[in-house]
Amino acid sequence: MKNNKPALALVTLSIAALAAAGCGNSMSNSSSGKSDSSPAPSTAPSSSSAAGKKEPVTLTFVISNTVDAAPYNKIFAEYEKKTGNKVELQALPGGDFDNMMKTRFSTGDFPDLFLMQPGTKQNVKLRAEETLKEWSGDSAVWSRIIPSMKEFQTTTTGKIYGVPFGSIGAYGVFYNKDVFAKVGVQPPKNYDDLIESAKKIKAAGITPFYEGVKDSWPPQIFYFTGWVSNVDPAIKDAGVQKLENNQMKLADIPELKDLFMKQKQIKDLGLYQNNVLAGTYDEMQNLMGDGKVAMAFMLDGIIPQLEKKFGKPFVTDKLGFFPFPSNTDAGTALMTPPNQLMIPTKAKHAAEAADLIRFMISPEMVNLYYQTQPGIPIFQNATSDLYPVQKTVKEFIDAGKAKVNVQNRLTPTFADFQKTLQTFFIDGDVDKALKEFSTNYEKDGKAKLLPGFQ
Amino acid sequence: MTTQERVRLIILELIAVALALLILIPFYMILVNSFKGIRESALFGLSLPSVWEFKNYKDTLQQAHVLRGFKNSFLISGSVVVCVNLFASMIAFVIQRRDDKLMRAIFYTFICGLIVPVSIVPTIKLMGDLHIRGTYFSLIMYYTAVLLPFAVFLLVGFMKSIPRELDEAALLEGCSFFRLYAQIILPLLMTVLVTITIVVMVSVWNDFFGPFYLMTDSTKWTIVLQIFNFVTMYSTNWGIVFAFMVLVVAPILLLYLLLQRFIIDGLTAGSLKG
Repeated sequence: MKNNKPALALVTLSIAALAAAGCGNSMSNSSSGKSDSSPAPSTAPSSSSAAGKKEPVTLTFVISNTVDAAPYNKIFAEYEKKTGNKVELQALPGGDFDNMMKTRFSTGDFPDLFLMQPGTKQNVKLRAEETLKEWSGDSAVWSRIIPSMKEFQTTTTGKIYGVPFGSIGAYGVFYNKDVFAKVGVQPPKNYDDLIESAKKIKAAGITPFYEGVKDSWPPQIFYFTGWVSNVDPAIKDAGVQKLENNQMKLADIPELKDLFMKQKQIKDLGLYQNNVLAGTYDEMQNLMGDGKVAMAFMLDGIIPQLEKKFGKPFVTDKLGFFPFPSNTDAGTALMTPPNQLMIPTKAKHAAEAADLIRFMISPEMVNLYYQTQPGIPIFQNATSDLYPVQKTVKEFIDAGKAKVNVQNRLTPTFADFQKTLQTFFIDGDVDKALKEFSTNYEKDGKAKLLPGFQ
Repeated sequence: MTTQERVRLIILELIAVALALLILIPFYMILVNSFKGIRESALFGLSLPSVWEFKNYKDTLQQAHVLRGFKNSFLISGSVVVCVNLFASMIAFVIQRRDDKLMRAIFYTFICGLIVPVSIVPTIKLMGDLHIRGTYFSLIMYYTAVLLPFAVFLLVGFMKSIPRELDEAALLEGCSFFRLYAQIILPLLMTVLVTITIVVMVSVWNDFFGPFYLMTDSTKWTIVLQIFNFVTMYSTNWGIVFAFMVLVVAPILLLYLLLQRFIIDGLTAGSLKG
């Protein structure tokens, strides 16, 4: 018979390991087990309520993985140098982010602070009045932020539950300038002009448009950018307000139906790449960089990606931008407001988290952020080295030819729009897609118990 | 055997080998793409890299918390292996040796556990009520509960093949029940325990949803969850992701290769009535 000592040893060892695992829970949450031997004196730029505190803490910061964490990590490294406090960054998948936050809130498992999509519409999801720190009285914070952004975060009752952070983003048509020069076309003056240019590009043997249907999210960009140029001028802000209260149906807006028809037209004319259903965001970047694709309806997240893949000179010299043209003019640029930082009132380290936010919006940190990730600033006197593409967007904003993404203006979301569009690309049924789009929007309003939807 | 038959067999053998090699294609793809740059790796091709990028591995290891993730993965999967082996062997010993109505009912209850899926929300609630939510202990117990039925099922089957005469002889010699289990039965179960170890280790190591939903404290996240440090919706460097995958898969693949001969032994053990 075998010697049974190993078996016994294994059992003993395992019980010891389990005990250790059990004990590990009650240990402090210093992630590396290495405590800071000499925390620097707290010099957070505020009347620090956490000042004079001896024990460094670790704050949890939850972020969606649609956001690039690089600039945040840099800021947190500085924060740690200054205060000794660590920040533990948790990236959660973007698709489930909202639901996961809601779950954590309902189980009382609050992060110390988190980055949320912009706007007051988020307050409904998180029951902000009961759960989140209110910022409207913090003049030190708001003196740093440009008024329009403050306005965007303010509820009708004058409350603010999130501090905007980041930069103003943009959606529109990104194009390869070399291809345009080679074919001899210019950024379009109106929508027909765009289609004519696309036909010329196709005749020259280059794919005019690329759509990443397989990745499911890219085709939506066409509608958001098309909305500000075509639907907004028709229904105006009053119309958007009616949509908010369900006094108007999405399916009843002819200009919206027209957008579906326009996308179908591009497909029918063969102006998308071959096998459009297999298109991916990654391939879009590669082909556009190589000059095999002329244009794409895209968000500005493509800029850093193209820089990584094709170098900075490509982005500064070869990448162009224009808004989705309307039927009569060059169209309106789409702005996306920056995300917002929020703090649950019941967070374990809510006071330190508020200090961290004040630290993040200090001039040095804001500049550090824009150095890492150039963008149109939202802070007073902040400078950012903008890419030419972003300069173009800024010109539109300064000329008053820019509008915030409709998704950020409405409380209900365009639920399952990605699936609707994938099906639409397969069957090309405009009425069916529009009806589904409209119905899903109402369903979402109903699920959120919003006035007018019940 | 005629030459024709022999040729037919050789051809069949070759086809079988070729089919077996198919399984290696994804592994090869991951490995080869982990050495490619950002543009080339995004194509998911099977060709060799035009430029070998070893930097991907360096970047991966420099990324936040990879080592911590490994530590958590080893701690959690190791503890679960121990718990499952220990508890399942004790349960199986009692169930098989007593073999009365009650024990049979308990055995069938465990079998039900093989079929019933895990329900996350009540699990979170239960952990909250027990005040263990978000601890290593809770996750270890969760996996133990999920994997026990399989282990019990396997061990009860195998226990039948261990002759009762051994127990009787031991008891006559004045051996206590626990000593009988620990010193006589347990060593005989080693083949099956190794099988269970592999199956448990692989399933815990690769599991994504358990820690994702039950563990909100990212300092206790396993290595698999660290993938979110690399994959983002709008910007993914696939070269680095593949390098990360290679690192994650390597330990478990190694374990599997070293112990895989036991798996077949263990799974078929007790299946024959002798």
